[in-house]
Amino acid sequence: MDVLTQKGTQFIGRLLENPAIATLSPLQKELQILEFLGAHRNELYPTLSSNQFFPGKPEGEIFAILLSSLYLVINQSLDPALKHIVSAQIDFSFIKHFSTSQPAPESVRQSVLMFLKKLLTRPLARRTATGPLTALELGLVDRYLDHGLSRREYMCMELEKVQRLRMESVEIKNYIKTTLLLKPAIALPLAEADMNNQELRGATVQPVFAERVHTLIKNDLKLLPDEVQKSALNANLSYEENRELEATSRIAAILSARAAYAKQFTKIDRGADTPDKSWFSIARRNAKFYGFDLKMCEEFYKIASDFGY
Amino acid sequence: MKKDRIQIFEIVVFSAILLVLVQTFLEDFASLMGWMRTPREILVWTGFAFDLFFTIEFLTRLYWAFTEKRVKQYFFHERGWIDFAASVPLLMLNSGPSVFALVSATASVVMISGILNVLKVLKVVRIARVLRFLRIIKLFRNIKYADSKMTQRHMMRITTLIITTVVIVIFGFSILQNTLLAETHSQTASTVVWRQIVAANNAAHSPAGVRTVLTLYAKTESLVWEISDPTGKAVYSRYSPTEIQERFIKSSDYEHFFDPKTGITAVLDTRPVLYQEAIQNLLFFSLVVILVGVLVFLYSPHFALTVSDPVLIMKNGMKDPHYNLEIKIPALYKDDDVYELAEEYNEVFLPLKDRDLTAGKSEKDAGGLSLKLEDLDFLSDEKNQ
Repeated sequence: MDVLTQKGTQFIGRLLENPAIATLSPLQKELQILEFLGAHRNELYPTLSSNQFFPGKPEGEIFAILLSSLYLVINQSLDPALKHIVSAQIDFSFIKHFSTSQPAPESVRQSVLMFLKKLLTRPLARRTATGPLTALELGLVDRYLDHGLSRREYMCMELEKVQRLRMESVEIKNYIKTTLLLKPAIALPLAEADMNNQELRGATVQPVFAERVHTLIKNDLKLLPDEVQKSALNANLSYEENRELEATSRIAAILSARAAYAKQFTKIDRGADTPDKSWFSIARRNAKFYGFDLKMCEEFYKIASDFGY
Repeated sequence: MKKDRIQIFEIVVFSAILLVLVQTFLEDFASLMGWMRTPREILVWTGFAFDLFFTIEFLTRLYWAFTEKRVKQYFFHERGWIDFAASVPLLMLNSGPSVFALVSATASVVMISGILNVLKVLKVVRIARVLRFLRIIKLFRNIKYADSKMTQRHMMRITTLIITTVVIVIFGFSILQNTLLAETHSQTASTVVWRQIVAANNAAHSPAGVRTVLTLYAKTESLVWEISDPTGKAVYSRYSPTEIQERFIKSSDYEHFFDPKTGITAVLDTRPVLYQEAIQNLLFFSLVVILVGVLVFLYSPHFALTVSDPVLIMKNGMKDPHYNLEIKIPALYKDDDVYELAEEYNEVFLPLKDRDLTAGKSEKDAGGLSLKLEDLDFLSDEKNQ
């Protein structure tokens, strides 16, 4: 590691020590720092160009060093988190329901992990992955699907009767977790220039775009069935405009959005509703805007309300 | 340093307020239970010490206010009038004369009788002592539910109004009892007994007969402490001088009667009347304690939960772009103005804010980042090195 990167890493390390972001997931921290650096670029430059940091370096170079240092530091905690999700949280055996070929689970895990590592070298993909990976880290799928499947209401009906998933509850959950994990694949063909694209911030894309991405990822994820890949990519589509969306995609879209800015251990003010209940309540009112399935949001809201999430 | 001293001073004052409330209770409790001289004497002295302390404290605060040219602010808006009402009049009209009577116990009986009459009229000012409860309400700032400034102010206002009203009403009735109803007041048990003594004296025909009649009467009437014939010689004395020393302390515990026609005198026990007064005082004291307790522990949470908490949540939601907790709306109070506003906040404001945030409109403007430039001390530290 050269001296400049070392200094950059130290600087980023100090930012990460800030208690305000201590409870966030690695990618949420990264997003916070990226937005912080972007918002305070002008104020920070005089300090960063002083003798203590990067004397004489132009602004662009300094921020390039900081960004590469940021990815380096975040990857140190992101990589083990990814490995843990892929190897310990998700059991890919559910794919047996989609194809006759039975690839070894370890091979599937390796291919997914490799794909994710490749994907997460792209800044925009990292941003897009913030919500899904945080949702997996927070265990939102288990938290809500356990109740959702046992209630046998809208969510369960959509998964079992409409999407026709003939599998165990635990397999359905793994399917949804995989959908979440691969949802950021939508950002694979996008360049950094698309970072400020309003449509992407709104997190919905057109079906044609999703199809195009599918052809791109097919080869990398050939051990995963098409249905699973499409479920993941379709989680970026609006349900308002695509009423035939898989229930797994609709669930992944909602949970991913829920987790994007979620904080762990949020202090709940006296007289306020719980964080999840509040979020789902807002989500059902904004369902059309975000392209969520309103009925699905309402069921999440009911679960959060009944169980105090 | 000055701040520390003020803090220590406040702690001392609050401790004194709590102690004086205990002292006030014990003083009446002692009358009711007929405590012996020594503990009652201690209570009189401590009452005087507290009144003196609070008078000095009031004068000090008034002086500070005067030097800072905010006497009006202190007296009317910072409840200086409570500091005044619960100190100076008590020292001048209640505990001061009581201590004087105590110190003068060995002086002439006539002087004590004079003080006695003064005390009877002025003891109603003791009621003002309960105003000190208003000062300890500040102590409840740290209890659950009373942490918002709005709740504290409302609690202070409502408690002050209620307690002051109760004090004024009782004060008024006490004055009425001691002045307009003086005739009724004179018909106390001791007055009736004295009239019977005079009548018995008049009925006897010889000095020996007088002595016999009065002695017989005194033995059967428990209120009679001592009867003396016109020569000043005691005809009957219920207690020995030692017993008197142990039992009686306050000049209000007994009353001197003198018949100018026959020249006989009597000292009669007035403590039964004092018992009644002590019961009334304790009732009043308990009423104030319960009122303050009910307001602080029952009404204050209700106010906080149904008014200040929803307001606080809305304030947080408007200040912090990422704060998206909804307000719980209790079905019972959904028609309250606050909850109607809360409903708008939940259903309109928060979804709108969320959409704005997603569209990237409000994030930077409203300071939605968790990281703040001003929190990063190390930047300025390293720059200064």
